[in-house]
Amino acid sequence: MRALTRPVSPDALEWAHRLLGVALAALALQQAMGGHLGVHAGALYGRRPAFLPLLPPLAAGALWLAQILAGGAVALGLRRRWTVPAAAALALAGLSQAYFNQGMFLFLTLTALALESVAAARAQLLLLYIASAAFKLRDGFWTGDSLEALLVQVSERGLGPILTLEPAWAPALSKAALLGELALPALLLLTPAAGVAAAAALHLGFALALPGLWPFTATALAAALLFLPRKFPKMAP
Amino acid sequence: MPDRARLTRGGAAAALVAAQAAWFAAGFVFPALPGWTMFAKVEPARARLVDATGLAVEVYDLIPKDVYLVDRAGARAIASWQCRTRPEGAPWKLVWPDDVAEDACAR
Repeated sequence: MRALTRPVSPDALEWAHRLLGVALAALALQQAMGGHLGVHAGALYGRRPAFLPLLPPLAAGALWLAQILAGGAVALGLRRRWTVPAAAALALAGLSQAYFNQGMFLFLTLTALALESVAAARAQLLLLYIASAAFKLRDGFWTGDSLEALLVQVSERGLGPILTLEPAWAPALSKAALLGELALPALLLLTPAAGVAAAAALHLGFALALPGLWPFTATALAAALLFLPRKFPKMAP
Repeated sequence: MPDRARLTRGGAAAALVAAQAAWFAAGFVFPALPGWTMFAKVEPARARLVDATGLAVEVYDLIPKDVYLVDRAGARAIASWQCRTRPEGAPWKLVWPDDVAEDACAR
């Protein structure tokens, strides 16, 4: 519990805000350029809460623009007392139009910081890793079948990953990813610097191989940075 | 910040974490919910939708580029959406790579 509530390094907190701002802007840009306008125009299928109305294309474009502006303001450090809650609200509005785990995770992390609770942001990241590892253990992810199917899909759809992974490597990579997710909570709590390095390696690997995951990577890195403690008591000016 | 406001924010933050924990637990018990699965189970789901005239469209081409199709249920949901939004193409068939076909509008 103490590891969750210890004071955060001011530099890490600053960089976490920057990364979260970039994540929100990147998510909006990704949707704007990835074909989501087609969802709003009725040409493509979108995964979203069915009980909420789908915005027309112009309104969706306005929402993405607002997300980009709010994300930019958070990243640049402009009036964060107002822009961080606004960014959280806009992330939530985005979820009403397209549901993604990475969007939900971004909303939760922004909301924790809007509530000025670094402890909540830390707890959410730990929960995310624990949940993700538990689901992977339950569903037999370590066999490599799921990752192989995912890598085949990336190839079949011509999504153009930065790093092309052979489907044959899937069993070994799946075990490594699962071990990483199991180890990360302990690393972040006990040796935060090593935990941040491991989280960076894991998430950069995901993002390089699976197009579309950069916003998630930025959010996870931001949350991991929040585990870096303040080394010295703050000096009075 | 006044103590009362700090306590309110702290309570809201704790509620947020508790809600996420409950969401995780619910997703674990009820697989239909979109839990924190993070690609835990992905199956080959490539398929074609064929309309009454024999014209085919890849299911992959009916979703945005940053959305992954993780199971056959997802492909069937897209087929069902296509049936609702393009009734003029009916009857639609959902054809899997092994050429097994099913009624796309059965859902």
